[in-house]
Amino acid sequence: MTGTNSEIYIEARKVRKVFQNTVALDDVDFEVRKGEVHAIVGENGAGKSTLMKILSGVHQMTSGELVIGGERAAIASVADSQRYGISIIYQELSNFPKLSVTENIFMGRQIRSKAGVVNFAAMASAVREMLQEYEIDINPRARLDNLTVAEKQFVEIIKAVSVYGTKVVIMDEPTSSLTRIDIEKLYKIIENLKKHDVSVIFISHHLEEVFEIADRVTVFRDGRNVACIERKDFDEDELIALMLGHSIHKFEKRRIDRREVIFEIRNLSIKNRIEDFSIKLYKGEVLGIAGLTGSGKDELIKSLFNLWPARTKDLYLKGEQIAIRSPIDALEKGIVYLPEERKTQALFPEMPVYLNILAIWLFHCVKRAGADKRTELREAEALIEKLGVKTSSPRIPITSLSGGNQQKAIIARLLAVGPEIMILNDPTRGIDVGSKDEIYRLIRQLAENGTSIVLVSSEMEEICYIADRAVVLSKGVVRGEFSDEDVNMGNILPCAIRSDKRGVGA
Amino acid sequence: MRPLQFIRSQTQLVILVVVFLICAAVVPEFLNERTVLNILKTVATSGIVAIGLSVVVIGGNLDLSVGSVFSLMCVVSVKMQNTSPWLGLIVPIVLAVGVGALNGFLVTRFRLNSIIVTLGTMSVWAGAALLYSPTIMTVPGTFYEKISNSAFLGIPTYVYVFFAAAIVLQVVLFKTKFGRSLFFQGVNPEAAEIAGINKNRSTILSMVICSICVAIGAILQTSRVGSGYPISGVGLEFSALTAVLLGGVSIAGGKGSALRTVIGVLMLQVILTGMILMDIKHDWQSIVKGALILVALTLDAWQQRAAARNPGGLAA
Repeated sequence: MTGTNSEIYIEARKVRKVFQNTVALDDVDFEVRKGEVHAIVGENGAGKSTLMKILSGVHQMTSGELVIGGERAAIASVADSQRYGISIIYQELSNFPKLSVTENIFMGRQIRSKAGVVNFAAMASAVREMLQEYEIDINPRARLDNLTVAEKQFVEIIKAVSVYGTKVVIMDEPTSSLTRIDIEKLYKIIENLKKHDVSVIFISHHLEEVFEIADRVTVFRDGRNVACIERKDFDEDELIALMLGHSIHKFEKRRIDRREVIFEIRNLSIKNRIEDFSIKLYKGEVLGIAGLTGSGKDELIKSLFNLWPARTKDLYLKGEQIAIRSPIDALEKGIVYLPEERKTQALFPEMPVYLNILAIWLFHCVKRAGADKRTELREAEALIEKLGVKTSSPRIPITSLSGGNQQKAIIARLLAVGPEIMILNDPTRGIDVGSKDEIYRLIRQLAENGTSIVLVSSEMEEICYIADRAVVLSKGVVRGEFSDEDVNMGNILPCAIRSDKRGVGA
Repeated sequence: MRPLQFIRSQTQLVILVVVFLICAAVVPEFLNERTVLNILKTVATSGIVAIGLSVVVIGGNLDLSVGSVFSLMCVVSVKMQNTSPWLGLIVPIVLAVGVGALNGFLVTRFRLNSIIVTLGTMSVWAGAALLYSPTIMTVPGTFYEKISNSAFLGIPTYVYVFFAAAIVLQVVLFKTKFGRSLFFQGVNPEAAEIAGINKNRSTILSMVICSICVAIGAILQTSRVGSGYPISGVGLEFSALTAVLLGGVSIAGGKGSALRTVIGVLMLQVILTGMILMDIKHDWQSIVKGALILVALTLDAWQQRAAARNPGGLAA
């Protein structure tokens, strides 16, 4: 790679960030040189995003110091961060879809004529120049919602460097929803950024991309910076070993009897997401479906309940073909679903804990929903106790519980119907370690009692911890299937992150 | 429940009592039997519309077509009287089932916003009412007179119909699967769908119930005034919605009850009657109604924000 000079632009020393009781960043040192592409890798929760949020002013560090452009810097807000020339390009872009590329780029900083009127002609020609400079082929007059995801990202990048004078662009998983062609275009833009002495912090789960574009790579694990490696020393196996570290335990695996197939998916295909997926689920088994964001696993699960359209899909329950047109159909067949977004897809925010727990039970397990309140409270209290939901009363609003206890209440909701098959999508997302552990133990216990469980997760450790069998998805294709002792990080992680040029939408 | 807790949980009832006492203090004739009876007579017809509307609002939807449907049902009911008194009762109700089902079908089948759908049907039925009967029509028979003149304990029967409808819907809301599902889908429609609540069915049913209430209100209205007028429902959607919101039913859905709506209906009418007795010019009524809907909306939004900020603070 060319154009890298060794002058340091950002230097972070001993950055520490503590959230309530968890240490997210533990005395991290980190530096970014002018005009370099600095990749950051690490598992979910390793601290990458926390550091980026500190640099972009979303979070404030607990202790530590920052030197930017040779001077001590304090970043207390997003505006501060922008003043120091740092911009983060978000996945969910904050833009104005109904306005043109030009208007979006100059939003809030319009060029005005002497009379004070917005000078569209001047802005359009300025944008045309910028786009040419970075070799981006987009019409400045196009409406933003007519652009692809990739093009919207490019517009965001141009806006950052040209209008806001950004010196450091942070890209958090920029490729997760891009096609191969778009990724190539992104690389070209990154090359051009380097030529302009702009540094890029590139966060990615895909090592192949890191090797293609990065000048250096920093590895995060458990809130620490465990290594910073120069391009010439890149080595895939070493990087994976560093990411895993010693934090993976050897979890006790159990022997399970795989004779009785309870549920089977055959030939599931989803446009641009999943190609020809088939899997069997055995009775009493915990089947892990591992995949990073953008691997297609979320769409796969949603399509089972017809919450996402599938092109083809054949489902079999105990050998008989079944049709599931809605979550109601699934419920009637003993299949329950825990959605990934607790807040938007599972909680009934202002309602009391007991009604949140009984949301399925009320409509599917009793003849009349008007059963007296005492019966309902008793039912809910039994579940609260069974799952160890910590709540002062079943009548308080669910939102007054901690995230972990909310999640346990939602799982209680599923258990209330005595399901045969549970499909759990990221059941431990955003909850504390203690609750995580309880949920894992619960999953294992349920499986031992004969419930069959599909655990969908982007946390590989979680899959390794409790799954009896795992399939690994990346870019819509199964990259590996492992059973029993083979369900371990050494096998799964490489499958999830070694993205080659195969895959759906590539 | 301790008295203080009860009072805090019944803000709307407390406000109604306070408003009533203020009116009684300022206007001496407010407390006499005739005024109170007049308030009850006036609210009975439009009140049924409001409680029907509250069922829709609790489910997270809105029905703006209630005014036009009311007009249509008034003229249909009167015209049907010409054929047979019973048809004047039955036809509007059967028609209402269709009208409500159409609203619900459009909202659920095409996943449209209920405000927009009912804005459309509102215009359609307003036009239909005028086409069907361009002028005012009087009631030919004595059947309606029977309805309007019958009374029990000195209170007209149709006032009882209003309260009976409120009690029936209260039971439907809190004691049936359908009613209870409305609260869940009103709070979080996506979560309700994933939890296997039959959102489409509940939405359609809520809109059918609302339209039936409107039809009953229209029948009572025609019998009370003795005529059918093709624009009698103009603006009714606003006063009904105002009453619903004053009763503490959240516009965001998932909160409220039929009985609370009754309180809202009474509150609105007490204020309007008080104004008349205070000789405040009629033109002010519209302004006051508008101001009340804005106040109710602001309070509702404020409560929702407070609940979001301080989730433990509000008792369920």
